[in-house]
Amino acid sequence: MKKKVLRERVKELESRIDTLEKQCCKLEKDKLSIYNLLYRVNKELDDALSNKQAFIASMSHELRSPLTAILGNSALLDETDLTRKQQQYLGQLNESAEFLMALLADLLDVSKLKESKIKLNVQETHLDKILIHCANMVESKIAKEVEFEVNIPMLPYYAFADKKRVQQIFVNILTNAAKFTQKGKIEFSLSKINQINNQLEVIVIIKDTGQGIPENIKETLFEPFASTDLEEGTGLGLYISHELATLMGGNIVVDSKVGEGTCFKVTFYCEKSSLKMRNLSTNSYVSKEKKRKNYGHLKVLIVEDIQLNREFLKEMFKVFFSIDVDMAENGQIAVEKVKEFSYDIIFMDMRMPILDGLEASREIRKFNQDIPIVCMSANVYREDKHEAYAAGMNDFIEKPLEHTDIESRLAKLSPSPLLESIKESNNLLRQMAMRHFQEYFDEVTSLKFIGMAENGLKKSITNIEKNLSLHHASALKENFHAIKGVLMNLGLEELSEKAGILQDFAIDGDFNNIEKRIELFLEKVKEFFN
Amino acid sequence: MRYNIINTNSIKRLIEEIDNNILNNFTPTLAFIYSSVHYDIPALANKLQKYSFLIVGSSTVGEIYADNNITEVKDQTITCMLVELDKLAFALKIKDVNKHEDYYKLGSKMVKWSRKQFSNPAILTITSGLYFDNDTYLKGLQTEVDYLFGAAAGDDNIFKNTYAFSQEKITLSGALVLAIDRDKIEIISSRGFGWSGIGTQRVVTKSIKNIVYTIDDKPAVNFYKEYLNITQDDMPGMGVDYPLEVQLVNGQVVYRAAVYINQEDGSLIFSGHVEENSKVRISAPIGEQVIEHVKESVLKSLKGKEKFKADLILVFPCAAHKNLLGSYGKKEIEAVYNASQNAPLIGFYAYGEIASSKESNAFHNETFVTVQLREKL
Repeated sequence: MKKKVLRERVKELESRIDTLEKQCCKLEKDKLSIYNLLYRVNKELDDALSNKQAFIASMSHELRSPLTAILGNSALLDETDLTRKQQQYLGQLNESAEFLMALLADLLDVSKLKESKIKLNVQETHLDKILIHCANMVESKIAKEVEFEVNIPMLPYYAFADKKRVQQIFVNILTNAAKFTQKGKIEFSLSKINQINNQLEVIVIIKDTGQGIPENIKETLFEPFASTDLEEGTGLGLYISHELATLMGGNIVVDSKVGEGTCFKVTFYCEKSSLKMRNLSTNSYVSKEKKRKNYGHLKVLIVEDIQLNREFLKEMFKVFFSIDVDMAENGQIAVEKVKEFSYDIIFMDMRMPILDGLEASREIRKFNQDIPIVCMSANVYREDKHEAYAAGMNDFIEKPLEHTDIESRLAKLSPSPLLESIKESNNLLRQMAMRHFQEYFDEVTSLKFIGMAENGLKKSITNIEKNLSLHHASALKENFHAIKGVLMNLGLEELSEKAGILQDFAIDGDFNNIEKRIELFLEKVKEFFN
Repeated sequence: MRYNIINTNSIKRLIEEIDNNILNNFTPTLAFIYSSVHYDIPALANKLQKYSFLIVGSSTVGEIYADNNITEVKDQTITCMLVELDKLAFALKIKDVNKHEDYYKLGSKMVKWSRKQFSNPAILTITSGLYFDNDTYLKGLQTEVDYLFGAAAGDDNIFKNTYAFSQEKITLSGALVLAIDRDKIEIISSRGFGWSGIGTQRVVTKSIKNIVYTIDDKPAVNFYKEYLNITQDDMPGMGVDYPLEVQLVNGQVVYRAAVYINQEDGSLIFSGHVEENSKVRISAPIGEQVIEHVKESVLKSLKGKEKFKADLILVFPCAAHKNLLGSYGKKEIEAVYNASQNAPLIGFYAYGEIASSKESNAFHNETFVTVQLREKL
């Protein structure tokens, strides 16, 4: 009897265990399903946000093209005879267009920052010069009643920093200080530089006696669209500055009291250059009068689909550089023109109907390896540049094109009298490097540096050849970085840029593109030893 | 390659099985022995002293093996794989972290030793898990070696004593290194994720190593409390299930499990370093799809290497995978086993996974590391 009861009890317990196991299994399944649901919903929201960012980026791009034309044409208009009234209207037109352009640039930066798409373009530079340049840029915006005190000591060394982005941080904050300070003082000081090994911790203070930041805004000050000036400002500047400082490993701390003023403490990090020391006895700030080159002899092809932009560029080249350009409205026409005529340089839009700039460049490279092609684009993501270089373009200009952008490309890519004269000598690269060093040092020191650089180049070439054969991408990245630095120190900017492009390919492990270019690159560099 | 897998519930039985193998003319050169802390691990290590083959040993949060189309995920067992590979292709060292030296030095000493053994080594390392600064140790190791993988020992989610061991030594605060000659052994490794960041990205404004004091200038614990009403009683369980997704300043994304709350200063202590200025989000598992992700990671690593057929597979999944998947955990191992063309497989659920190429961060949480080894002919 007992056995029977016991057996039934065991049966009952087994059945309950079975039920519990099934329930447990169901719970596990439910838990996994809920996680999956959470993941899906989150992904959808992320995608929606990303689409919004892409929309902002695309709209910014679309709006920049007509704005470029407006700004360009108003610059051309300014070169003509105008009445005072007309000049006044033109001034207002310019101011509004520039404001819109700045807003679009900020929007584009915000969307890139949100997508973590901004990569710092670190180059050897003068940190103090950048800061002084920021002060100069903002000075005109500061009220006459306000004292502007700039304490930026000259630094005895160079640093690796992203000039454009460092500038952006401080111009934003200084512009804010200028806007909100009507009396008293604005101080802009390079407060401290701490050096840990080769790493520089740079601390800059911007202090004003302006109206101060209300408590309710302080909390969200570094969030987009949380402007201190909700009526006029876009509310993007401080967000961008903060994000850029963070990207440089630092931060921005704000201390403010309404009615008393505001103090921004900006900290960022950069690497100290170990190769070059600045000669403090040379006053680098004395501007050298630039010799105006004559570019009238150059044959330039502009490839641009938007008629307004074409006309503007045509006028710009004519007015500023005395060049009568040839035009093509899409890539296909450009390819045909390059087959038929001889040009010194091509300025090529990236996005065009029928045949875009990338395809057209690929086509051109099939029959012409030498002609310099400069990409013009409002797409300024790193991958866009990458694509342009991979398609065979030599350089990249961010739209809107400015007079200085074009001039620097013409000087760099077109044969100049100076380069021509150097070409006649035995070793072009050595002469260029010598000339570069002699801007800063005496002959003995320059020769010493050239000797040091020669060893650096030889070592880099050996490493590159070795690591390329091993397909060792991360080592190659270092090797290209090293050779890029040496070439830049020699003042061989074009070759240094090419090393930079190869470095980018190494970062992506793109051996195809490295192998396509390496032979020519090394051959060029080796010319230095001849 | 000859091999044999033993899974048992007794130290005595394990030793008998190993002895039987040896008696039957099987001469292992290397053994992986993974054991639950349910067993007296110091005693186990002591019993292993009589063997001359190299032993890679670790305490676990669960033991894993697969062979002959059978996959097993075990709790509270001892799992051993004996293998007969080229003796000259491996060397082993186990060392405590010296009170007078730091973790970085331990790592750099280990890698220097490995480079003395082989000119082109890869390193398998098992660290003692808890009470060990894995990030700093691995940075030391990474100075001179490109290929690095392994795991941090576990202890059945008890979080008390975690061991790395061989026959020569057992350590509660140290690491074991198996140097592998890459000229003799071909290695392919992969790392699969299974967690995904949710919500808004914030910035770590103050942190020192694995202690995060502030996020967006507010106490770090507030960040977690906004999403999950956690207290210390929920840790480390909740912190492992919902780790921090960390986007390092160099752009790499790693996950860090929160293991402890310091109520006094509002800081959170994580299982690995969280660098200042990194961008963080809370994260959650992606459900059953985690299995697919891990399988894909293995298939991707084999892309373009169609002729590669592994002799042996080592797996190091995070204990979080076991906690998440429960009885579905077996499916995950099956997926990896099948994707690796059914080569014999051994592994254990760990408190941290190690996998890196030269510059990337090597220490991970919430991931699944798979390593395929093949003897070069």
